[in-house]
Amino acid sequence: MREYASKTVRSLNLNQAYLQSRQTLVDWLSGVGDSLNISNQAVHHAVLVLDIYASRCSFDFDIVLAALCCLLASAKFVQMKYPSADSLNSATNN
Amino acid sequence: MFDDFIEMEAQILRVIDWQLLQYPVFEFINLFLAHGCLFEADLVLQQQRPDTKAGSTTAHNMRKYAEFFTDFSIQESKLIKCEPLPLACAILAVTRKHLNLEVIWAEEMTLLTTLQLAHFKDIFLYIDQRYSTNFPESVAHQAKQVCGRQKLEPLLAQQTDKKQKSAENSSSAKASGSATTQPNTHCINSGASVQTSKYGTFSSQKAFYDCFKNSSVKKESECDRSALEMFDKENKNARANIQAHLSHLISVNTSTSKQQLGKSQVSQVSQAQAFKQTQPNRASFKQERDKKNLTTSSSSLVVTNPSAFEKT
Repeated sequence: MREYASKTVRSLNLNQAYLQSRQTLVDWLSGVGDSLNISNQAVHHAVLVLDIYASRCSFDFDIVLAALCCLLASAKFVQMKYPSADSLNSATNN
Repeated sequence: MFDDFIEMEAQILRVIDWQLLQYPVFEFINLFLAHGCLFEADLVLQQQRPDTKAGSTTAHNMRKYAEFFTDFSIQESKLIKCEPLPLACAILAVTRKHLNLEVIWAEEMTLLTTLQLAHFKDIFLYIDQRYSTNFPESVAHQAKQVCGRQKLEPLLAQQTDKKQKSAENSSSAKASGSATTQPNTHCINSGASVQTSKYGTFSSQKAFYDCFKNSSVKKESECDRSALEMFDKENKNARANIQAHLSHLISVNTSTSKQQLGKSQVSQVSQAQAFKQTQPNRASFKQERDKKNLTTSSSSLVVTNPSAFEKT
């Protein structure tokens, strides 16, 4: 577990633009997770998956949509229940 | 909108190669909290009730504080590249500090996490500093509540106490009047009164360390070895004293047991001799018994079968 986790962290290569918006994004994502009753474990997992995706992705992407999709995938992976796309959309006040 | 979600989710899974089994810091924190990060020896430094042991409320607060500091540290972009295990240890150390525990990184925590405080001290100080800059009011409130000084590590604290004492003695011998006090680098909160460490004796820690040394857990990771080697170096003199004391005790015990054994053997021999003396001679006893048997058998023959004897 320790080796695997440290290997993942070592492989992260995040660009400056992502790092600047990361703090507000993580704060916002945890708020969305709270409003949708998503567990804290799933939110942390989603942030790590988002970091991995941002480090491996070479092209520009919608960061908010990516964060929501990471939250959805993590909720599916960690929890038994996961929110629907509609509830995700409504939670973002879009 | 639904299609966008589906497409983006598929793209994310494709980019991360479906490797969803990841271990964030939260998993490590959960693991350590499940093992237990609050011990019976832990004392809570409170202004109102000094020397109180950690209770159920402290245990409940520990989980809340740990989750809060995990959430706090995940937002920090500087901590992204930190390895999860030292980061989790630093979060636990900050949690223990803000729970006002006397020893922030107890020996049991080192054994649980296989890391000493020196391994993650920078991360610990960074999180603590960031917390104090973001929440200065709560830090000030906590500083008011704390009675005494918090110690980073038990052994280091003992060593610094000894150094302080020796420095005070030397300064008092040299200078007349005012006693100069060396600043304690391992104490975080400078309280009004200094409390002595009630963490435990070194011998008990040493025994605990020996148990850990013999266990199979130690053999698995090299980090444990390095930590134990550091522990060995630090406490070499103390260990030698303990070993000398133990060998003295063993020699005393063996000599007394030998003396007791010798006494018991002598008493057994004397008892056997006395028993022999009290017993009659076996040969003479046998001869007497045979004689008696012969006489009795002949008399019985005569008495019991007179007719048969007459016939023959």
